Amino acid sequence: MALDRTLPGIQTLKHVVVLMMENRSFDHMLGALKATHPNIDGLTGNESNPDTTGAQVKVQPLAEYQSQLDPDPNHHFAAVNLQIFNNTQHGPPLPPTMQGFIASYFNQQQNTAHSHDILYYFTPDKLPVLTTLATQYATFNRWFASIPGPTICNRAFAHYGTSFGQVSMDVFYEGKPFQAIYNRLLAANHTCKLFYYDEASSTMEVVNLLQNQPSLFGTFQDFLNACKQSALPDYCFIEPNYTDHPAPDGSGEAIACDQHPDHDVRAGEQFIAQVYNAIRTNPNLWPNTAILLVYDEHGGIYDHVPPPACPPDTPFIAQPADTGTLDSFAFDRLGVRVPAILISPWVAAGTVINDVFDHASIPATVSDFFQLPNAPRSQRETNANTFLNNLTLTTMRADNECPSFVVQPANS
Amino acid sequence: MDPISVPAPPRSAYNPNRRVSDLLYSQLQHFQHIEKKRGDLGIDPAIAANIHTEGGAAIYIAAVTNALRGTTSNSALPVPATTAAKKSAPPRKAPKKSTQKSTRKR
Repeated sequence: MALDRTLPGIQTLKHVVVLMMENRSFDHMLGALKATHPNIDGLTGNESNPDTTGAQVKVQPLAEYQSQLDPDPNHHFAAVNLQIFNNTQHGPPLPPTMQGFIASYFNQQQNTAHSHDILYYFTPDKLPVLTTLATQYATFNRWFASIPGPTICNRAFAHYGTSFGQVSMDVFYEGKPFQAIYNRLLAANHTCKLFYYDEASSTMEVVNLLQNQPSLFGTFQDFLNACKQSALPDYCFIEPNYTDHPAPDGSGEAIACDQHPDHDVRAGEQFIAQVYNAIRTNPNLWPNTAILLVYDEHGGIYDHVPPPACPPDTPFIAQPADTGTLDSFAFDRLGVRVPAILISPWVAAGTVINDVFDHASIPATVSDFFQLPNAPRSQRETNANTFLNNLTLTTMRADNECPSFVVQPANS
Repeated sequence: MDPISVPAPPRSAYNPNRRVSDLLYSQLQHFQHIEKKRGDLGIDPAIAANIHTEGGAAIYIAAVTNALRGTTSNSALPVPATTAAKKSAPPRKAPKKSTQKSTRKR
């Protein structure tokens, strides 16, 4: 659907900020909201998977911040096949039953009791930032990972609109036909930046953008400074801290805030709040900035919604040697559903979006909004839905109608 | 609407001794690929060898990232050259206080 440029929120909009977190499924983080917000497609409490004894195990609100999903649940292509189709070797035409999550996690430790943890989900009180943003702005009921696979190929869709045929972590794009959204923006005289947390965490775009265009990057502190100075680039992509490490500037401990298992989820909550606060508290930015908070993939954690088919990413096909299954993959179906929230004072509280999105929607939306000149784009990006039409309000929400967060210091 | 308090994780959540995940392993491989390809980044071999924990990996990642970006700011301060493979990077003392506001530094 074409962007309605008569919307006041679109006429005001100047900046788009994308924050991409790590490895949590929709139901794991937001599924409990269905009890109080029935239009959010979360959990009823009756969803289940069989364990390896044949017992049906129900989802439970027992997710913990840390130490529960260790080892890291497998989320490579074959494991995700098992999770979705209950079969490691074949996908469609098998039905996507979402019945293989416990079986997949059991494979890692052969521990029946521990394998049940993959069905655990958070109660809203444990995730005050994420659940407040979800209920106070717009929640996507159907935002899926771009590929039923791991991080780097999924993140590639956010940058390029494709992974150039890769379903793994080894994504090398040199000499490939489609340019990153950053190159397209720069060519059209727009400003843009990828903000990694710090140089010790750096980026997952190592072999491509960091190697070839290091000037595209800044740190999270640079992002905060840009917000403070009302000097935000037109488009910003933010990466969280991927490791626990001593801060490179010597100021203390930098705790991982990506929410990747087994990192503490609370650190990610604080990080999300910091990004939000930096924009929300600046009256020069808040009216004219849209924030997309999204997770890169489900991390092997249970979700109940079968991923849909999508137009193939012609001409790319991953061969069985790459998928680790007996099937090739034409990038013609999406990965598991992830949390995604659109934040803007022009979005009505309690909005729920039911159209299908994936990370190719990010460059598609940015290209559309900034009216970038036509450039070669992947089939997946060409066919992806865009999301800024959800800035539907005719009047901006008042300050006291928008939530604010107070980030508490660590003290024990 | 009242401000919402966002609690911090306990200090015990911080563990630079944690072994690198599959994701970090891939990120490290990509940095190693670049280091090998460039061949002139001047990364201390001791730093390049000590990448089995998050803390150790972070030191290597910072070194290569700074080399790629040509950074010479406080973010390029010398990092510990030696830490045993299965030990964390030791807590570091700042030569000087950062003038910038800490984000999630504790």
